[in-house]
Amino acid sequence: MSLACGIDGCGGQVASDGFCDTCGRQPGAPEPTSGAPSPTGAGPTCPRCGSSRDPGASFCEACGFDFLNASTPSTPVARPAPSTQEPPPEPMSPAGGGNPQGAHGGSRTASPDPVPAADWQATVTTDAVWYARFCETWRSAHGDDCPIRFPGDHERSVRISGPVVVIGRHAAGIDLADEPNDPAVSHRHASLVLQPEGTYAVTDLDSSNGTYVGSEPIAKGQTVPIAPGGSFNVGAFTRITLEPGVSAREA
Amino acid sequence: MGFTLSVAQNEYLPQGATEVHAIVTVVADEDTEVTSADKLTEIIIIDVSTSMEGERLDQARIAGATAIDQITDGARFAVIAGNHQATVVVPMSRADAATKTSAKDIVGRLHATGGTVIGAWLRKADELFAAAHDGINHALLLTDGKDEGEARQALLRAIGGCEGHFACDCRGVGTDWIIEELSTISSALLGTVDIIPSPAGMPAEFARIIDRAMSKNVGDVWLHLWTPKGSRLGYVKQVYPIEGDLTGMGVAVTELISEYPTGAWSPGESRDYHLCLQVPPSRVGEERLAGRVSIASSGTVSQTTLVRAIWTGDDSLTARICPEVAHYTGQADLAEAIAGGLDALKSGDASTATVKLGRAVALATEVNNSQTLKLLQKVVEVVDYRTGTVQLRPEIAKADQMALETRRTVTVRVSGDRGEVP
Repeated sequence: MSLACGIDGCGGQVASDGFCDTCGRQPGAPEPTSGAPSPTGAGPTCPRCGSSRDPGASFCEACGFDFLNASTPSTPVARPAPSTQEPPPEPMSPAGGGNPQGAHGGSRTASPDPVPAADWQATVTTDAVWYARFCETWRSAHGDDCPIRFPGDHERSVRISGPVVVIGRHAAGIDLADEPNDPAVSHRHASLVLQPEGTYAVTDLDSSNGTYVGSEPIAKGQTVPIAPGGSFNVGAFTRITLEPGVSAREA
Repeated sequence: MGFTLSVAQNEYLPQGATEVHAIVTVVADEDTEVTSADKLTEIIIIDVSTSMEGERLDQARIAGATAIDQITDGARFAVIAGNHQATVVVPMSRADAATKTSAKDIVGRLHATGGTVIGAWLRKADELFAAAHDGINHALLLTDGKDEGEARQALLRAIGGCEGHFACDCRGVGTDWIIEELSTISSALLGTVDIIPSPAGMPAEFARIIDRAMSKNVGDVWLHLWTPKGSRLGYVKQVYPIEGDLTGMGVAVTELISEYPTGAWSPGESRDYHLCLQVPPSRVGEERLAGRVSIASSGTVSQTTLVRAIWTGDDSLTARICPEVAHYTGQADLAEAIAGGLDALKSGDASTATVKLGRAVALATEVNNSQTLKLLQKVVEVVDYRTGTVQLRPEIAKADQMALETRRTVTVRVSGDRGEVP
């Protein structure tokens, strides 16, 4: 997806089937666009670290960069801007209690993060403080005790990359039907959208129980940037924390 | 489970045209993997209102027992007796010889009393499913009457609350139930609706429904559709084996990608979808991708098939008719002609009914839908199949009229061969 479309000023990128991922046209076929970079399949070096690459390799041997699926920072055209105007990413304080998130907090949050589009790590943890809040909300709405039990402490990490990562039960990006299986998560719950500056923003996909940054629910159609080390809550007890992947931090 | 997709369309458009039609066929792999029964949860909802008293309830008790017998050991199941309230007579349990025997015993002792509040039954089922493990959730709902004692809005709210949580096949026994009520439930909950004209037909129908539900081995399957910027979706409809409009059920994943729920699938199952896309106009000689279609399930996205648009000045290309698109457009017209004809019949307008049902006969003949033709023949006497010259039968049984109305959306494929109808 590294080739820019450029037809009639289209800022989209060309997918592996040869058609632009934004406008559906096929750059290069009838009238080759001048000065377009060579497609990823033909590039001799990794667009992230510059190491030489084997023809046909899917990942960079040196830094693990995903040639086939990741957005490449070498593409001169920025991704289309989100439809709503947003403030630059702000540090998101963790939603009360839980694990300390300080490791990467301090220095990174002062200015928009310079990390290029690359792989990120989403850490999925159970959040007892969030669960207590969920139960309280349940009681006031239903009048009885929440039937969902807190599954104890769990932590797992999911590597995420690409322009959109869908979160939900059996979702392709972050599957929350996996252990410890949060039943209050919708099938298509939320999505992470890669921002031009290389960080992710979270948006709620009209889920039943909402997506919360801090203690605030994300309004319909709103996209909230998540700074490195920042987190958000979904379901009854799930917290997701985003951190740059190992290779992205080294880059 | 994997899925294979293929597309049928005429991709050539004349200058200025923007509407693209395509039929996408989706086939689930014949899986070697055995369905794990613990993914399956079944709830049987039986109407026990006063009107069920007599042969209906006698047969419903047998049908309930037959249904319980069909549940795969290891699956979870429950039985709700529904009247003006919903009573969980068999609590959610894991199916084995002992639990099935005790459940059949309970179902055999059901007695009829009270009214019909279908919304309450659905809410109770939803509650039971919520407590069940995540998996493939299915309900069978049987009623013999009209939803009463709750506002229409309350029923709609109850249905809305269940959407995406379980699939529901609805059956009406006799002719005193309301098609529109059950079809609203079955469309929203991705199930089927049908009439069981005589109570004696219940056990076989229940067995068929449960057998089919137990064959599903993947739930939560979505049609994943990318369309280009500036395009507009006309509609997404399932057109085989039963018509169902999915347009309003889409969930936006990104600005350009939406997903449409298709429910649970059995290995080897095959369905067709009709997509109508409005793409931005382009110059003659240009090509534009109108859509990328794939299937998203269990965390994976299938192979992608492409819907294209190529603008050309060559009339011989643009005039070509895609047989699959024409075939399903014909069957949509057929369903509409039947609905129109039956509406006219109900309001006593015999001449309009004759014209519309005649049109339906001609269309059913053209698309080679012999099942629908058979149902039509119970309502009209056919003089000429091709031209659709018909005469209304002097005595039309209400059950025949209701069967035609509920089954008018059951389709056949182009070849006329008939797949199994869920």
